[in-house]
Amino acid sequence: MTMESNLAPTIYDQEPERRSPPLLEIGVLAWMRQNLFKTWIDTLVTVVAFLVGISVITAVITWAVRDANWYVIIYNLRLFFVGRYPVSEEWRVWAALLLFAFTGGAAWAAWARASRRAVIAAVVIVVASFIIPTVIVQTIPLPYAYFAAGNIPVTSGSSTQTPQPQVTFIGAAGETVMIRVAQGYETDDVALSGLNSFADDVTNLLRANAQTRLTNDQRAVEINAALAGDLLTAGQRQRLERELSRLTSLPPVTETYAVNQAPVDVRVLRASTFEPVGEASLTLNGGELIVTLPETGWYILEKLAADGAESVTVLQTRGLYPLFERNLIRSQQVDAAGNITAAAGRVNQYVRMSDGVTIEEVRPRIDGTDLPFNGIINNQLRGQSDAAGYARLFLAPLLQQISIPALLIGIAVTAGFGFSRLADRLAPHPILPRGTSRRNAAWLIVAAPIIAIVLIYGLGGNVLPVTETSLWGGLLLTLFLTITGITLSFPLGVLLALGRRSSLPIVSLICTVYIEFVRGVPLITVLFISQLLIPLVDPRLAEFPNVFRATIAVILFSAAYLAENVRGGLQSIPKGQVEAARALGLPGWRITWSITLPQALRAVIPALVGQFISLYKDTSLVAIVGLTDLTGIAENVYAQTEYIGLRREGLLFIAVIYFVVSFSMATLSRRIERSGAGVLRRARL
Amino acid sequence: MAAARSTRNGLPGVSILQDARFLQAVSQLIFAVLVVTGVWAIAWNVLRTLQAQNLTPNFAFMSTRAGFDIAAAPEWYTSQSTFWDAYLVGFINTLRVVALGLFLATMMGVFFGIFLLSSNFLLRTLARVYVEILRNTPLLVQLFVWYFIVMLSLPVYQQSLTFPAEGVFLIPVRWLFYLPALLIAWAAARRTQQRPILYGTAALLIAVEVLSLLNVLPAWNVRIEVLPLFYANIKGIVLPEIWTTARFVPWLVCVAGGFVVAVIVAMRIRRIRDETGRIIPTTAIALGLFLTVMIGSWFILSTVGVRDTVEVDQNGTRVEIPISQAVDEELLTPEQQAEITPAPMLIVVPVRGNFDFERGSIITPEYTALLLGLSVYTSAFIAEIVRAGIQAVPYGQVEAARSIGLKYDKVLRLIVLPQALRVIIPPLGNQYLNLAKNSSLAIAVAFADLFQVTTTIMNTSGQSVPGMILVMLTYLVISLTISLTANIFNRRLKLVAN
Repeated sequence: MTMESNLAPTIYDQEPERRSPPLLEIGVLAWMRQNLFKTWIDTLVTVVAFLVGISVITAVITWAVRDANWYVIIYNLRLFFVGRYPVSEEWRVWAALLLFAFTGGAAWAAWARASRRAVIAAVVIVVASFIIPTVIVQTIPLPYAYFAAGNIPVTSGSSTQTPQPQVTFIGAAGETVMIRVAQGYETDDVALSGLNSFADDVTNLLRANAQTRLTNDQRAVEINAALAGDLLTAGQRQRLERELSRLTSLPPVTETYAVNQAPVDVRVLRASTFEPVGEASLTLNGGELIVTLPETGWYILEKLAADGAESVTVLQTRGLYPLFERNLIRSQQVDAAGNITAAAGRVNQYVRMSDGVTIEEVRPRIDGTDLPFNGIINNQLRGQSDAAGYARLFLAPLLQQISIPALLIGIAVTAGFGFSRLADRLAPHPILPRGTSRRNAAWLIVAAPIIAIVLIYGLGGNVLPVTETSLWGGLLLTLFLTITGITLSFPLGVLLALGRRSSLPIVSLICTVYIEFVRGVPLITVLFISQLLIPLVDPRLAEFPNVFRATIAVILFSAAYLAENVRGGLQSIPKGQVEAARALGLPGWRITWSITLPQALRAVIPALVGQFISLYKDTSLVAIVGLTDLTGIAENVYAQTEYIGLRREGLLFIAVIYFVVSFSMATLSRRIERSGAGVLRRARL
Repeated sequence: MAAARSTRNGLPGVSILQDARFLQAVSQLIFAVLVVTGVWAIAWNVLRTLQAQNLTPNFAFMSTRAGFDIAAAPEWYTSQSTFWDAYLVGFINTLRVVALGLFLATMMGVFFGIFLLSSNFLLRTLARVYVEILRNTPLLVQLFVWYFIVMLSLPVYQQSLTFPAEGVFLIPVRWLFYLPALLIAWAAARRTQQRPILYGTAALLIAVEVLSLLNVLPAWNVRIEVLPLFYANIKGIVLPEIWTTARFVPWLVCVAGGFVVAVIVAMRIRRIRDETGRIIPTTAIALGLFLTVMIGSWFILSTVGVRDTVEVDQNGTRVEIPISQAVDEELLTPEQQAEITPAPMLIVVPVRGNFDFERGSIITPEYTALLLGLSVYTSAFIAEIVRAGIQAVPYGQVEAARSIGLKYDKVLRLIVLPQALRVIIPPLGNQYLNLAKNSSLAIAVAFADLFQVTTTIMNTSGQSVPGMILVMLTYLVISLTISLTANIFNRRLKLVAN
């Protein structure tokens, strides 16, 4: 019996206490343990990777927000996107863009699923691009603009300038202009060295002087401290002593130039009539001049120091912001009756950088010389702008420029989407659920590039005059080269691949030699040859546009690579397919067209898209032969005096554009691959 | 088939126009004629136009005076040299970039390929970001970034960056004991399975550190003066010079001899291993032998027949003085220094002058930018190839290898890598080709490579067509060499089909 009782099972009549799984086995902590801190080496790697990642990210963000000057991008968006394409014909680019957006929408509805998240994201972006800039402009004031008045030259380094008596600026109707003597700069150099806003040349020289003096003094203190210690090698000590002997202690800038010591007579004039709209004599504590501008146009600020006063006065102003000039090309304007309303040629536009107000009036002149304006090169807003300044100066204008395009593209995509859905409902395909819309979308995808190219190039006549290809540039040219390159090199590549696999030895030999030769030389040599050889073939071809020469080179080059990809696909087709087709009595061309080629192409979709991506990136090489594609135009933009030294911003911007397009192509290719469209269909029993 | 047989037999009733072979021959002939006529027409037109401009294409001009300078060219090239010399300078520069670029790109690519497969999420993600950014932006833009933004933002000569950082550093004496202490504790803890030993040591070290920082313990420091070996400034990167002395050639002969002996020994050991099945550490023995010969001959050569006096010029007469005195008085020319140094090689640290380096070999920013741009760009593609190659090895292989008791490194070396290499080699060869061809983008950063020099030749001489032919043929030869090498490797690694 005892045995039995020992063997009797323990019966729990109560349910055991529920315990939650160990904290380290579930949830975020478990994930982190598994993926970040598995072993101590793993932990070390995580820490190092984290530090590297964080330092790179913070460095980039700090630079982008604080140090970068994005004006080079914001006010050159037109150049970056369409180059010098005539302004009067710009609607054609817009039409082409919207056509692509419409096609995209239609294709989306035909193949993909409507994603609520994508729709919400798009709506949020469009709405935000309207609301955010408005909020920023309303809440954050623009910084003051500083102008120097006076009659003595200011020198800093190798440049010397005297304050200008008159400066011209753009004013909009109803705006208020405020001018007063800047407070606090007459006492010491610290305030002057920290002056960080829009400023004219002389003010900038003053500021540079103050900064030099203060950094010199500070450097001398540092060097003396280092020399006093004993932690220097002999070489370091020698170099520091030499540096110290070259450092000179300068007198305070405020004293040298007697900053803000003399009164200034200030007048604001209408540039068209030279009528004053306001005037005042300003002293250090002498109030301010406030003028409301009657209409939009050029104005002149006249600032004259009192006679004989050897001083420089810094004026603090609102409403006088830096301008820049841009030259645009406009083609001939013709009205409905066929009369020329405006001749073709250059147009000068002046843009106010703070908010993009643009006028085309001629700059005011006095005594036959153009009046100076405070340009972008003069403004020293580099180096220390804070987050609010960044938002007001760069973010808001950028968003303002993209808001309307974003809205239009959104509408076009929606329209395309609706078109596809409507087509399916009105004329449903007998078998496939989305057959109609897919057929439509396929036609649109084929037709859109052709229509776009015709639109942008033109047909001749008054409605669509032919545009000069030498004016094309930026992303427009890059995409033109890519799209024509893809569409024309594709058939050529297929022919070359078929030729190389042909059973005819001479055809095969010629195709093989061509393919291997082109694949063995760099693209840049092919581009050079096309630039060089075409006029030599026939002198009449000397007028043949450079853009088309480059296009031909890109096509010939890309075809060889595509041919190898297609050949790979052709080789992967089981022999039985051809034999079966032959057994059915199909003629040779029919076997290729209906049996081998479709399967071969489907099998190499990823490789083909990869080739298209590299074609897209390779179009940047046309910049080397002098075309103004995205890379070429960027190099042109920061070669202008206004934008010298802003190469980082420009390169980052074009890199982002290249990345976005190329990455989306790659993602699309991966999706096609994953959808199974690229898989060879094999028999299943 | 039927048609062909019937004509061969001369059967009546079958027209020649229905003979497949005849039709094929005719169509090929037509195609060939069309192609040849097209090419010939273009060539003839070009020739006629050039003759009209008095520029009949020829290669004779290449032997005439070039008349232009090449930045950072070797000493034997002057503007008096011929166009062939200029071409050679460009060719050598291209080879310099390509050879080193291939090496760097492969190293970085393999590392990032392994990072892409890391089980560590952060490392994997960072590697993915690196690869995607580099693969999806044009090389030209990247080269501009490397040259104009990275290289040209380096400081001016006076503020050159130094590595290792120049200066006098005070190292606390206690730090010198930390690493040995930790290692000993680690070893002890491993042997006795006593973790507390490790924790105790760590706690002790932390306590010492805290007490020192609170100035409770005295601060004894070792004073270390660090002089830099490498400098970087806007004019380039300055490296130590390596001088070969009079004893270099004998040493090189010894090293070569050691290599041959090591190879012979390794082959012999391998044969013994194959015959007897004994496991002998072949690599270790061979490498040990080679290193022993290399280092031993260095020391023997450095001690035999060392001179202690040297002849120098003093006031026009040649005087024999002790070396130490000559060195102190800085009387030695570089040649003499190379002559009297006992070691086979001499590393000469860069010496700063007032306005430029007096010693040290300078690598131009153009070369550095091109090299870095090319190898970093290509490394992203190689990383993807390596990742795909390793993933192509079925995981069962790893599991099987683990189950028969192979350690992790052996699994990688003997099982995974050999199989992955088979998948990796063909696309890797393609990337090598791409790198070689992309080196022609040197023209964007003004580096005098083959293509850049040839364009200068074309512009100076006006002979554009021969120049273009020359440059294309050279690239073809480079490409073919690379693809041939890749094919040979591929054939050696191919599975033997049964």
